[in-house]
Amino acid sequence: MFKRLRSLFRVLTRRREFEDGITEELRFHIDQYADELVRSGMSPGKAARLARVELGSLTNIKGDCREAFGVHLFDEFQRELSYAARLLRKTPGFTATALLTLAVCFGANLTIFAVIDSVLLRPLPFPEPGRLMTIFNTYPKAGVDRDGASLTNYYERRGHLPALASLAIYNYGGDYR
Amino acid sequence: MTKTAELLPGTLDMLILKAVSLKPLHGYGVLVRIRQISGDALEIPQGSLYPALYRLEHHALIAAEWGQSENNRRAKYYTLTAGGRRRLRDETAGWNRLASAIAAALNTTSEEV
Repeated sequence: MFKRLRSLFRVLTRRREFEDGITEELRFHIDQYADELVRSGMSPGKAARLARVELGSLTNIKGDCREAFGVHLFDEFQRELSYAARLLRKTPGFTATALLTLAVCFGANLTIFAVIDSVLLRPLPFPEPGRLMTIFNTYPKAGVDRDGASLTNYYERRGHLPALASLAIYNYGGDYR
Repeated sequence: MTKTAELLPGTLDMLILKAVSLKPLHGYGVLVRIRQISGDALEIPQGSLYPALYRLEHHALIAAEWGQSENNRRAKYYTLTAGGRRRLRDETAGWNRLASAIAAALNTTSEEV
Protein backbone atom coordinates (compact mmCIF):
# COMPACT_ATOMS: atom_id res chain seq x y z
CA MET A 1 0.00 0.00 0.00
CA PHE A 2 2.72 2.43 1.04
CA LYS A 3 4.87 1.40 -1.91
CA ARG A 4 1.99 2.07 -4.29
CA LEU A 5 1.38 5.53 -2.85
CA ARG A 6 5.05 6.33 -3.25
CA SER A 7 5.05 5.09 -6.82
CA LEU A 8 1.94 7.20 -7.59
CA PHE A 9 3.55 10.23 -5.98
CA ARG A 10 6.72 9.77 -8.03
CA VAL A 11 4.69 9.70 -11.23
CA LEU A 12 2.62 12.73 -10.23
CA THR A 13 5.70 14.81 -9.50
CA ARG A 14 7.31 13.82 -12.80
CA ARG A 15 4.25 13.80 -14.98
CA ARG A 16 5.98 15.02 -18.17
CA GLU A 17 8.59 12.32 -17.83
CA PHE A 18 5.88 9.68 -17.36
CA GLU A 19 3.96 10.75 -20.47
CA ASP A 20 7.08 11.05 -22.62
CA GLY A 21 8.16 7.65 -21.30
CA ILE A 22 4.99 5.91 -22.49
CA THR A 23 5.17 7.62 -25.89
CA GLU A 24 8.83 6.69 -26.37
CA GLU A 25 8.26 3.13 -25.18
CA LEU A 26 5.35 2.58 -27.58
CA ARG A 27 7.24 4.15 -30.49
CA PHE A 28 10.19 1.87 -29.75
CA HIS A 29 7.82 -1.11 -29.73
CA ILE A 30 6.34 -0.19 -33.12
CA ASP A 31 9.79 0.33 -34.66
CA GLN A 32 11.13 -2.96 -33.29
CA TYR A 33 8.12 -4.89 -34.56
CA ALA A 34 8.25 -3.19 -37.98
CA ASP A 35 11.98 -4.06 -38.23
CA GLU A 36 11.17 -7.68 -37.49
CA LEU A 37 8.45 -7.73 -40.15
CA VAL A 38 10.85 -6.17 -42.69
CA ARG A 39 13.46 -8.83 -41.87
CA SER A 40 10.86 -11.50 -42.59
CA GLY A 41 10.36 -9.97 -46.05
CA MET A 42 7.64 -7.35 -45.74
CA SER A 43 7.93 -3.96 -47.43
CA PRO A 44 8.88 -1.19 -44.94
CA GLY A 45 5.68 0.81 -45.55
CA LYS A 46 3.41 -2.15 -45.01
CA ALA A 47 5.43 -3.29 -42.00
CA ALA A 48 5.14 0.10 -40.29
CA ARG A 49 1.40 0.17 -40.93
CA LEU A 50 0.85 -3.37 -39.65
CA ALA A 51 2.95 -2.72 -36.54
CA ARG A 52 0.79 0.30 -35.72
CA VAL A 53 -2.44 -1.60 -36.31
CA GLU A 54 -1.44 -4.61 -34.22
CA LEU A 55 -0.56 -2.48 -31.22
CA GLY A 56 -3.98 -0.85 -31.40
CA SER A 57 -5.10 2.61 -30.31
CA LEU A 58 -2.21 4.47 -28.66
CA THR A 59 -4.68 6.73 -26.85
CA ASN A 60 -6.36 3.70 -25.26
CA ILE A 61 -3.08 2.09 -24.25
CA LYS A 62 -1.83 5.31 -22.71
CA GLY A 63 -5.10 5.68 -20.83
CA ASP A 64 -4.79 2.12 -19.49
CA CYS A 65 -1.18 2.77 -18.44
CA ARG A 66 -2.20 5.91 -16.55
CA GLU A 67 -4.97 3.94 -14.90
CA ALA A 68 -2.46 1.28 -13.83
CA PHE A 69 -0.78 3.93 -11.67
CA GLY A 70 -4.00 5.66 -10.62
CA VAL A 71 -2.95 8.95 -12.26
CA HIS A 72 -6.23 9.17 -14.20
CA LEU A 73 -8.10 10.04 -10.98
CA PHE A 74 -6.02 13.19 -10.65
CA ASP A 75 -6.60 14.10 -14.28
CA GLU A 76 -10.34 13.77 -13.76
CA PHE A 77 -10.20 15.78 -10.55
CA GLN A 78 -8.31 18.54 -12.35
CA ARG A 79 -10.90 18.55 -15.13
CA GLU A 80 -13.71 18.80 -12.56
CA LEU A 81 -11.94 21.68 -10.83
CA SER A 82 -11.44 23.69 -13.99
CA TYR A 83 -15.05 23.03 -14.97
CA ALA A 84 -16.20 24.34 -11.58
CA ALA A 85 -13.97 27.41 -11.89
CA ARG A 86 -15.38 28.13 -15.36
CA LEU A 87 -18.96 27.85 -14.08
CA LEU A 88 -18.22 30.21 -11.18
CA ARG A 89 -16.66 32.76 -13.50
CA LYS A 90 -19.71 32.64 -15.75
CA THR A 91 -22.10 33.48 -12.87
CA PRO A 92 -20.36 36.24 -10.88
CA GLY A 93 -23.55 37.18 -8.98
CA PHE A 94 -24.00 33.69 -7.62
CA THR A 95 -20.28 33.40 -6.86
CA ALA A 96 -20.25 36.68 -4.91
CA THR A 97 -23.36 35.70 -2.91
CA ALA A 98 -21.94 32.29 -2.11
CA LEU A 99 -18.58 33.72 -1.07
CA LEU A 100 -20.22 36.39 1.07
CA THR A 101 -22.45 33.81 2.78
CA LEU A 102 -19.43 31.66 3.51
CA ALA A 103 -17.43 34.63 4.82
CA VAL A 104 -20.25 35.74 7.15
CA CYS A 105 -20.72 32.17 8.42
CA PHE A 106 -17.02 31.74 9.10
CA GLY A 107 -16.83 35.13 10.82
CA ALA A 108 -19.87 34.49 13.04
CA ASN A 109 -18.63 31.03 13.98
CA LEU A 110 -15.15 32.26 14.81
CA THR A 111 -16.50 35.11 16.96
CA ILE A 112 -18.91 32.86 18.87
CA PHE A 113 -16.25 30.28 19.41
CA ALA A 114 -13.73 32.87 20.62
CA VAL A 115 -16.24 34.10 23.21
CA ILE A 116 -17.23 30.60 24.35
CA ASP A 117 -13.60 29.58 24.48
CA SER A 118 -12.51 32.43 26.75
CA VAL A 119 -15.67 32.55 28.90
CA LEU A 120 -16.71 28.93 29.24
CA LEU A 121 -13.98 26.59 28.12
CA ARG A 122 -10.83 28.13 29.56
CA PRO A 123 -10.93 28.00 33.39
CA LEU A 124 -9.59 30.94 35.38
CA PRO A 125 -5.91 30.45 36.22
CA PHE A 126 -6.63 29.80 39.94
CA PRO A 127 -7.41 26.67 41.94
CA GLU A 128 -11.16 26.40 42.73
CA PRO A 129 -12.12 29.45 40.62
CA GLY A 130 -15.72 29.09 41.87
CA ARG A 131 -14.68 30.46 45.27
CA LEU A 132 -13.12 33.61 43.80
CA MET A 133 -14.78 36.96 44.54
CA THR A 134 -14.12 40.69 44.29
CA ILE A 135 -14.71 43.17 47.13
CA PHE A 136 -15.61 46.78 46.34
CA ASN A 137 -15.87 49.71 48.65
CA THR A 138 -19.32 51.29 48.54
CA TYR A 139 -20.23 54.80 49.68
CA PRO A 140 -24.06 54.89 49.50
CA LYS A 141 -24.40 58.45 50.73
CA ALA A 142 -21.96 59.71 48.14
CA GLY A 143 -23.76 57.67 45.49
CA VAL A 144 -20.68 55.56 44.77
CA ASP A 145 -21.66 51.98 44.22
CA ARG A 146 -18.35 50.34 43.44
CA ASP A 147 -15.03 51.88 44.29
CA GLY A 148 -11.52 50.54 44.76
CA ALA A 149 -9.95 49.83 48.18
CA SER A 150 -6.89 51.57 49.59
CA LEU A 151 -3.73 49.83 50.81
CA THR A 152 -4.81 50.64 54.37
CA ASN A 153 -8.17 48.90 53.74
CA TYR A 154 -6.26 45.90 52.52
CA TYR A 155 -4.06 45.61 55.63
CA GLU A 156 -7.07 46.09 57.89
CA ARG A 157 -9.04 43.34 56.21
CA ARG A 158 -6.27 40.81 55.66
CA GLY A 159 -6.71 37.90 58.14
CA HIS A 160 -9.82 39.50 59.67
CA LEU A 161 -12.51 38.35 57.27
CA PRO A 162 -13.42 34.75 58.34
CA ALA A 163 -15.41 34.23 55.15
CA LEU A 164 -12.26 34.50 53.02
CA ALA A 165 -9.36 32.04 53.03
CA SER A 166 -6.96 34.66 51.73
CA LEU A 167 -6.97 38.16 50.36
CA ALA A 168 -4.98 39.98 47.73
CA ILE A 169 -4.95 43.48 46.30
CA TYR A 170 -4.25 44.39 42.70
CA ASN A 171 -3.90 47.63 40.88
CA TYR A 172 -3.99 48.81 37.31
CA GLY A 173 -3.61 52.16 35.66
CA GLY A 174 -1.24 53.42 38.37
CA ASP A 175 -3.61 53.82 41.38
CA TYR A 176 -4.76 51.25 43.92
CA ARG A 177 -8.32 50.05 43.88
CA MET B 1 1.76 -22.11 -38.70
CA THR B 2 1.27 -23.58 -35.25
CA LYS B 3 -2.01 -23.15 -33.49
CA THR B 4 -1.96 -20.36 -30.92
CA ALA B 5 -3.95 -20.53 -27.71
CA GLU B 6 -6.02 -17.80 -26.12
CA LEU B 7 -4.59 -16.49 -22.88
CA LEU B 8 -6.65 -17.24 -19.80
CA PRO B 9 -7.48 -14.15 -17.78
CA GLY B 10 -4.87 -13.49 -15.12
CA THR B 11 -2.13 -15.47 -16.82
CA LEU B 12 -0.55 -12.54 -18.65
CA ASP B 13 0.97 -11.11 -15.44
CA MET B 14 2.43 -14.50 -14.56
CA LEU B 15 3.97 -14.90 -18.02
CA ILE B 16 5.46 -11.41 -17.93
CA LEU B 17 7.03 -12.09 -14.54
CA LYS B 18 8.47 -15.35 -15.90
CA ALA B 19 9.87 -13.71 -19.04
CA VAL B 20 11.47 -10.90 -17.06
CA SER B 21 12.88 -13.32 -14.47
CA LEU B 22 15.08 -14.91 -17.13
CA LYS B 23 16.75 -11.68 -18.23
CA PRO B 24 15.99 -7.93 -18.11
CA LEU B 25 13.80 -7.12 -21.13
CA HIS B 26 12.13 -4.15 -22.79
CA GLY B 27 8.42 -4.31 -23.58
CA TYR B 28 8.86 -5.68 -27.07
CA GLY B 29 11.41 -8.17 -25.73
CA VAL B 30 8.82 -9.48 -23.28
CA LEU B 31 6.47 -10.18 -26.18
CA VAL B 32 9.13 -12.00 -28.19
CA ARG B 33 10.35 -13.95 -25.16
CA ILE B 34 6.86 -15.19 -24.21
CA ARG B 35 6.28 -16.26 -27.79
CA GLN B 36 9.65 -18.06 -27.79
CA ILE B 37 9.37 -19.86 -24.41
CA SER B 38 5.82 -20.98 -25.15
CA GLY B 39 7.01 -22.56 -28.41
CA ASP B 40 5.04 -20.00 -30.47
CA ALA B 41 1.85 -21.30 -28.88
CA LEU B 42 0.93 -18.17 -26.96
CA GLU B 43 0.23 -14.85 -28.63
CA ILE B 44 0.02 -11.86 -26.30
CA PRO B 45 -2.50 -9.22 -27.36
CA GLN B 46 -0.11 -6.31 -27.91
CA GLY B 47 -2.47 -3.66 -26.61
CA SER B 48 -2.73 -5.22 -23.16
CA LEU B 49 1.02 -5.78 -22.72
CA TYR B 50 1.95 -2.24 -21.69
CA PRO B 51 -0.89 -1.63 -19.22
CA ALA B 52 0.08 -4.97 -17.62
CA LEU B 53 3.73 -3.92 -17.41
CA TYR B 54 2.74 -0.60 -15.83
CA ARG B 55 0.47 -2.35 -13.35
CA LEU B 56 3.26 -4.72 -12.30
CA GLU B 57 5.69 -1.82 -12.00
CA HIS B 58 3.21 0.11 -9.88
CA HIS B 59 2.86 -2.92 -7.56
CA ALA B 60 6.67 -3.07 -7.32
CA LEU B 61 6.76 -6.59 -8.76
CA ILE B 62 9.02 -5.42 -11.57
CA ALA B 63 11.34 -2.41 -11.72
CA ALA B 64 11.88 -0.27 -14.82
CA GLU B 65 15.02 1.48 -15.92
CA TRP B 66 15.98 3.20 -19.14
CA GLY B 67 18.91 1.65 -20.99
CA GLN B 68 20.42 1.03 -24.43
CA SER B 69 18.81 -1.51 -26.74
CA GLU B 70 20.71 -3.88 -29.05
CA ASN B 71 20.31 -1.37 -31.90
CA ASN B 72 21.52 1.54 -29.70
CA ARG B 73 18.19 3.13 -28.94
CA ARG B 74 16.87 4.27 -25.60
CA ALA B 75 14.53 1.59 -24.26
CA LYS B 76 12.83 0.91 -20.96
CA TYR B 77 14.12 -2.31 -19.41
CA TYR B 78 12.19 -4.31 -16.84
CA THR B 79 13.73 -6.48 -14.14
CA LEU B 80 12.12 -8.69 -11.52
CA THR B 81 12.11 -7.37 -7.95
CA ALA B 82 12.30 -9.53 -4.81
CA GLY B 83 8.52 -9.16 -4.43
CA GLY B 84 8.05 -10.16 -8.05
CA ARG B 85 10.16 -13.28 -7.57
CA ARG B 86 7.99 -14.26 -4.59
CA ARG B 87 4.81 -13.60 -6.56
CA LEU B 88 6.07 -15.65 -9.51
CA ARG B 89 6.87 -18.59 -7.21
CA ASP B 90 3.41 -18.46 -5.59
CA GLU B 91 1.58 -18.12 -8.89
CA THR B 92 3.57 -20.96 -10.47
CA ALA B 93 2.73 -23.25 -7.56
CA GLY B 94 -0.93 -22.23 -7.69
CA TRP B 95 -1.09 -22.74 -11.44
CA ASN B 96 0.50 -26.19 -11.25
CA ARG B 97 -1.94 -27.27 -8.56
CA LEU B 98 -4.88 -26.07 -10.64
CA ALA B 99 -3.58 -27.61 -13.88
CA SER B 100 -2.90 -31.05 -12.36
CA ALA B 101 -6.28 -31.06 -10.59
CA ILE B 102 -8.10 -30.27 -13.83
CA ALA B 103 -6.03 -32.81 -15.77
CA ALA B 104 -6.79 -35.48 -13.16
CA ALA B 105 -10.49 -34.68 -13.31
CA LEU B 106 -10.60 -34.77 -17.11
CA ASN B 107 -8.67 -38.07 -17.32
CA THR B 108 -11.06 -39.95 -15.07
CA THR B 109 -12.59 -43.02 -16.74
CA SER B 110 -15.95 -44.57 -15.88
CA GLU B 111 -14.32 -47.57 -14.14
CA GLU B 112 -12.61 -45.31 -11.63
CA VAL B 113 -15.79 -43.67 -10.42
